[in-house]
Amino acid sequence: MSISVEKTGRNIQEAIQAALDELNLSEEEVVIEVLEEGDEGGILGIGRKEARVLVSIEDEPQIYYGDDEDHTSDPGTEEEVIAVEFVSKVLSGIGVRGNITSYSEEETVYVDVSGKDVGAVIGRHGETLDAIQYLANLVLNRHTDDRKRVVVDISGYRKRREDSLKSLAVRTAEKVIRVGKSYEMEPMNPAERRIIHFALQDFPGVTTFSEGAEPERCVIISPVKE
Amino acid sequence: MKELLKTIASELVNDPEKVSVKQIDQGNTTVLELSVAPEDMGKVIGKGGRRAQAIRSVIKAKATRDGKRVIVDIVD
Repeated sequence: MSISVEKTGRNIQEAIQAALDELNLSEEEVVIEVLEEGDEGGILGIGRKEARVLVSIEDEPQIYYGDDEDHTSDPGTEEEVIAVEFVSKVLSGIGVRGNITSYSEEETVYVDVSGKDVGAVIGRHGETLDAIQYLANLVLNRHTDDRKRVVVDISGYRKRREDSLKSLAVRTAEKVIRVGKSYEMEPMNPAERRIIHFALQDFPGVTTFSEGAEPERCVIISPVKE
Repeated sequence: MKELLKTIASELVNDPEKVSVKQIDQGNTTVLELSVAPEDMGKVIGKGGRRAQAIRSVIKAKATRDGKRVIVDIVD
């Protein structure tokens, strides 16, 4: 539910201030829409027109906990609540709104985010998403004794990235066999390198290993000399 | 941006009351100075600066959305 206040003033700034005073909020916490710019008028205020603004509090992200299958609202475990609350705070802080669902499998808590503009928090090569996930892991393990892992996904990014890395791995391996020369892939983070190694572990004719220092560490695919 | 940094830092430290953020705007660039209790420095910096790096990534996402440049400094 959103709350809005409409105010008038001699100029835009005054109108905004009046609305903020009423809401008892600062400018950073609201959305301001100027309805009428107003005009301070000439000498003696001739032709004066009041400025009018609409100041609203943005909707809180809609949060519900559910399991993977039908998103029915079951309460979620204590770990899920901690992870979801943290991710939700970060997303609202960045300024995106979305749905957050969570479910657990063994030692892993999955937090899935979906929404209109959530793509903005994935970042280049998923850098922002990885940062949020890393911080969520730290926060969760502060609150609980036994180590749990949090996996945060946004709009199915991880799944899509995994699929595209797997097919890239296979295409590159075929090329390595055809050309008979090693190929160095672009730098990847440990999770992504693991996907490549795993995808090719039973692939005949090639072997994989990682080389270089983080964050430039990358997978090398080499032909196996028979 | 300031609030977001404060929120994240407070979740990581043992003493959230000592978390404070100073914001200095220089044109299009915002400098955020994060300070925490001396015992909590490691909690926001992390091994090899990994925690600091993750915090910067998230704040950068916010800055990019706002069309700004941001520098996050951890001060003691």
